[in-house]
Amino acid sequence: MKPILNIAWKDLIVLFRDPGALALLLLAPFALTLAMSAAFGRDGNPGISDIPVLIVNHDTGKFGELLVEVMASEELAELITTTVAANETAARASVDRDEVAAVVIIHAGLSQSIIPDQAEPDRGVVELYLNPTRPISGGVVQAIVSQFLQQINTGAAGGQVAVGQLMQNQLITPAEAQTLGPVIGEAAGRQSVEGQLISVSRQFQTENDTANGFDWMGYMAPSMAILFLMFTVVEGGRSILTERDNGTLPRMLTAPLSAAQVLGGKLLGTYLNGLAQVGILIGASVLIFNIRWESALGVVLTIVSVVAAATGWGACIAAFARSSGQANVVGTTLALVFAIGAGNFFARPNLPDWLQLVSFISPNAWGLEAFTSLTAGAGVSDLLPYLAGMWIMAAILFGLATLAFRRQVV
Amino acid sequence: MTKILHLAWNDIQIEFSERSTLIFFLILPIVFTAILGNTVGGSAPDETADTRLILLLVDEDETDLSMALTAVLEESTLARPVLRDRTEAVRLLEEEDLPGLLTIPAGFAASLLAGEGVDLRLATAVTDNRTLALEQAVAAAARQVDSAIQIAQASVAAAEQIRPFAHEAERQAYFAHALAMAQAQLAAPPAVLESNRAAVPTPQGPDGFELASAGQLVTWVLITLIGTSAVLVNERIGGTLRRLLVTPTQKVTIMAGRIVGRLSQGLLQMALLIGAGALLFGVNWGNSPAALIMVVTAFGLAATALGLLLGALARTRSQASGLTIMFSMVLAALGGAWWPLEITPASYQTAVQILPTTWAMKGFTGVIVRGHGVAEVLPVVGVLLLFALVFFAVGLWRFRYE
Repeated sequence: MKPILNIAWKDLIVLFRDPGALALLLLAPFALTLAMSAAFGRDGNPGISDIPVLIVNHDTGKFGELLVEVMASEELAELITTTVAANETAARASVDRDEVAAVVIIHAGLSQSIIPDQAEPDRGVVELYLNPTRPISGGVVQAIVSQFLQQINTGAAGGQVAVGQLMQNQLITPAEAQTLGPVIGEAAGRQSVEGQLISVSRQFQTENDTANGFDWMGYMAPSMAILFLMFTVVEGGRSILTERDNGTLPRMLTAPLSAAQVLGGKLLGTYLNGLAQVGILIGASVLIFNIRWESALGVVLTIVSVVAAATGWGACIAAFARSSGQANVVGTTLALVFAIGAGNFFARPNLPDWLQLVSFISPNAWGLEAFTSLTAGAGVSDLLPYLAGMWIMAAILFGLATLAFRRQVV
Repeated sequence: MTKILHLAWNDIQIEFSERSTLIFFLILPIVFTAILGNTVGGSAPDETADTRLILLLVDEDETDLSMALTAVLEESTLARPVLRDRTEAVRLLEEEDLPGLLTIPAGFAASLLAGEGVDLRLATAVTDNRTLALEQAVAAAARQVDSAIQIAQASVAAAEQIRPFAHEAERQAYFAHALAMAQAQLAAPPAVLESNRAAVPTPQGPDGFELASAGQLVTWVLITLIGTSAVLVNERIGGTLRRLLVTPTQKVTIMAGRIVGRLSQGLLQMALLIGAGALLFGVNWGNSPAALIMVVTAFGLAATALGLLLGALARTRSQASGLTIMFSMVLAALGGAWWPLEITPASYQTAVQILPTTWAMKGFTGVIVRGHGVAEVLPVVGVLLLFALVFFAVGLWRFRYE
């Protein structure tokens, strides 16, 4: 056992003394996690703010002015930055130059459409000229203007309905209708916003129908750790072949060591490297991003298991590859395919069903499912299917690798 | 010049002597684009098909008001309500990957008519980004129904101020009539919103593949071109550079040969990915081939120069390979190749202006999404060339041949 531990320890030391390897091992996943944290914050909700918007008002009545005031109001100051523009052509050109997310163009006659001075008024129009490279910002501006229009339309409809009914029931005269209409309409419009009766709440539907939210960092931190764990185990497998190519492996075999001890030591080294890598990354994420998992034991068991399953893949690649170059190509390809297929770059539920199922061939999928469960408050007993899946994968892969290694050594 | 071309051709031959090169060069980028393109939104929708998101709807109230809400939802441009009983709806939500389930609770109408608030519960699959659109659709429909009720209540209140109703039935009839009038008025509002997009090459705007293609191109070409560092370190460690220097070849020729070789590979990769994107995923790469070529070349130069710089800094093969993976992934992610920068905070958007990938993404999205021509891409190309100049200068200054 001691020779195995010595070889494993040596590999661990060698890895942690290599700045290039450390960059790939720790710096890259941590930098990506930090980038995601800066981009999306803790909950993964987009941090949209200060959307640049131009507004051009061709309306001469009070509703055009009101929309300008709303867009430039204090309440919306954090979300949008509105600038009033006089020249519509120049404003549109700003969108074309990608300087602003949208131009709001209030067409002439908006106010007359709401308070008509003729029997058949023209329809009032507010036009949005949107920047196609900022579709989400455009959606936000669209929502704000829609809400404003809904409010004034409600006001107009409120006035017309109330006054129409009062006149139908001969409760007021046509002369009184002229003065009462706008008053009732304004009250109905205000009431429709301030006294909203229907609210909409979004709740997450999970298997046990609990309302646990999604912790973006709780997903992405282990996700990046698992992604780069695959690079580590590939490098571990490749190092076995490099030692063979460089002649160090045959030299080791001339020592009083069996082939099984040498290979066991190398694989244990890879396992320890992976364990150290994922352990450090998860530990740092807990400290820096304040990620909280209910079950510390569950986290440890998941790390231990996902590293075992990943090392199994590293062993298989080393056993079946003909050269270290081939191991590198196959291993890196597998690492990247596993990552995209299992959901290391975005949450697994966004993947097609078939891909979610197929991805269980990778340790990435099992690990991500386990960490997602932990984030949702799962305990060790809930994790058992995932832990079992990872260990079964490890056993099968180590079994295959052993057979292939034995053939090579014999 | 002939020597430079010979060295470049030699590099290309060595690289493509291994079939595995094609995996990273072409196959993986296409696989990634296919998966990401589908995840982001897939192909442009067939305009005749109903592509609205399915909204499972459970109506536990079954009153005129709950049906009015359903009718408003049916007019939504985002959601298509599908009425089911509760058990079936829950099963479909959990098993069929449908994005949301809206429950109109029993007592919905009674509460609203009594002036009491009602909470509509939209159950969604965890983290499904389609749910944001559904929530918006439900909120808009709820507002419309809400407005009609408010109008009817305001109408009843106005009548009561003038003359109280004789009995409750008269009041209810007055309310029902007002509600029907309000619903009709709100269905044809006096003021409307018209949205237009700035000129785009495709009338329906960019689809999922068009959004994913530029990002994947930037990511994978970065891996190839920053990989220049590994090539240079390999040659330094293997002594090839030293051996070349004893031939009647100048240092600058050797370096130019290596750089031209690698840059050619990057340009070829971009050409293949652009072609594959157009053929396999129907990506429209804009209206101006000249503008596209300018962005491609400027990005290629900047990335190759970065590879040279890293090659000058890395001392071992593993350092070069680690730095290549780290820089290509981190720069691609930060620069907007993995997610659109518009959804990030303003400070983040300002900070990433110092990255070449941010400018490359600006150039590619400008060409794809906005149909930019030569004049419009000039600023982006200028910045990318500036990056190339700085990286080349520092890289050559720090480079050691032995």
